[in-house]
Amino acid sequence: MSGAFLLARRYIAHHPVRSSVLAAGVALTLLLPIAVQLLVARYGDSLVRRARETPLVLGAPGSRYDLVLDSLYFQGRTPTPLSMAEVQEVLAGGLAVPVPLDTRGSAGGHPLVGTSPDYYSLRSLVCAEGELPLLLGECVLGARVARKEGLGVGDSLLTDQAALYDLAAAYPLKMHVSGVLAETGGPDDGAVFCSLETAWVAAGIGHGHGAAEEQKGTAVLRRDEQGIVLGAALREWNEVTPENIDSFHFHGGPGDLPVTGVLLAPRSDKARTLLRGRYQGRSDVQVLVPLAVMEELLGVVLRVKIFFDANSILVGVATALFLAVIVTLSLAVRRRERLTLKKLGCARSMVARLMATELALIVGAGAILASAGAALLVALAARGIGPL
Amino acid sequence: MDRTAVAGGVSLEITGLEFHYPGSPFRLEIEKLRLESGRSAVVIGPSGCGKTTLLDLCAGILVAERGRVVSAGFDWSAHGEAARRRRRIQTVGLVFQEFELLDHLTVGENVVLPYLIHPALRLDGAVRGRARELAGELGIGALLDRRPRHLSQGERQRVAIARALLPEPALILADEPTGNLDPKTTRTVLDLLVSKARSRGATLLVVTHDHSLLDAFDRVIELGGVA
Repeated sequence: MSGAFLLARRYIAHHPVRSSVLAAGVALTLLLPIAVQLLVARYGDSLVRRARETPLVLGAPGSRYDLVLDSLYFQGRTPTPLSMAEVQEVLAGGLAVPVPLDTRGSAGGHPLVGTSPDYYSLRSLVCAEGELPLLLGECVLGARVARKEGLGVGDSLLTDQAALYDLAAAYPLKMHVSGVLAETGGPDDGAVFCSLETAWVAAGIGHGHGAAEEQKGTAVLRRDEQGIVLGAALREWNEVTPENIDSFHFHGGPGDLPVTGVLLAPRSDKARTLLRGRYQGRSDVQVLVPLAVMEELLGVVLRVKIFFDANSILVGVATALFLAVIVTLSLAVRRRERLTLKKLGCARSMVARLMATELALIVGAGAILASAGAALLVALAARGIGPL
Repeated sequence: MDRTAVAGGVSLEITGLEFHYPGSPFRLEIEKLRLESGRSAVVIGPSGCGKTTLLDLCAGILVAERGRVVSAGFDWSAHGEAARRRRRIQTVGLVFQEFELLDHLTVGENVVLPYLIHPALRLDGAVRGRARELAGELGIGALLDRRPRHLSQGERQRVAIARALLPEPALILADEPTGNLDPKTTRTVLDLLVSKARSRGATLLVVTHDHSLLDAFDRVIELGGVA
């Protein structure tokens, strides 16, 4: 251990309160900038990586941010739905594989994502246990959902009722867990996936009930030679079972059913360009490049961060001045000590080295405290925000 | 170090010394002063006569305007500040009236302080061993891990003496080393300082106001005229 280091360490240890206050001052100054930097880096990387893995998103006109955030991260406001006819059109065009999403529902407080089997291929999702949902009424859980809810294959999960006081609203659907996805570290870990049909049943667009001919009492509004009209008293199944699965049906044509967004996986770069060109002039739908949208969004965040950084610099300068005053006062208070060292023959550079070492130790301790605090803050924030 | 070169010769030689502080009427003039190696001398004189200034000149802390101050073969006025500091820490041991120990260091660390503040002195196991041995000889061997503020005045001065003796200097300069001690401790500490300096062959120059101590030294120097 060098003499300067030993003397500096001893001096700091001899004045624990003064040293702690100084280190805490430095730590508080550095804490927020480090935490913000870590958060921006962490979420920025995560957001951009997910966006890069998603070539195009098709959706109804409206907020670009809502469409991308909802379709990629299952967060934010649910965009205006568009019809399955758009999906069928993409499919017929043959330029891309359309992956429709219906993200309007939730189950156990987690996003319920109705989608096609292509979604699992697009995101390279595989089951850690069980299998992907094949039947109506089945779901597969993201790893974090399974862990948090303590659910596994063979368990069941209720969808959330969207409107508690709407008597006409669909009842929660009891879904069967067919599998649990392997952990990815991304948004898929925090969602519940099912087929589009299951999502539509959960949303009340499709339903299952006993045969109309067997209904009686208030469940039948009218029965004549034209047919049977059933009323709201009709008892619908809130669970899909092998016995009642055949009774589930959707009213209206397949093209009328809603989706909140469609991920498009173009078959080639040329197909991607053609697709974008094809939708460019349309006002009833929009096709977005998620990476461009997310970089734009992050650009806004970074512009805000510049102001934050400027504020941090000002606080840093204030702290540096505060430290300079402390050092100057300390030099005055320790004049006698410096004189003794000089008389004994202390090297001229030694006093400067001694003061620099003391300052470095305090700033270093402050930086370590700030880093630890920032890591804690980021962990707490991540718990609140959740992984993206 | 040049200690072997001066052993048995002249340890301190002042010729034609003139010094004054800028803006002050005070003036120190010494025509000639020689101290042989291994001898002890005491400097006396009224307050303000320049006793402490003389010690500072002998240690190279101050530099004479005229004349020469040569200690252990080294002419202080012929060298710059950095060289004087290096030479001082190697060849001059200093003892102060107020002890000037560092409160944030232990007694042991205070003893080896010269080795912590200049790269010319290297702190190693041998030096640490010598420090322990010296502390034992001065009666502070059991106090090495304690802080100076927990020691008596006499113990503190012993620590300061150990710090001055450890680098085995050719010249030991003590400015009122017993000024803060009670009469009984004064004699004990002074005897220790003189005997340790003598046993190490170091030249000792002490400033004091206490005329009852003069008999402990080989020579008495009264400023205003060399006795």
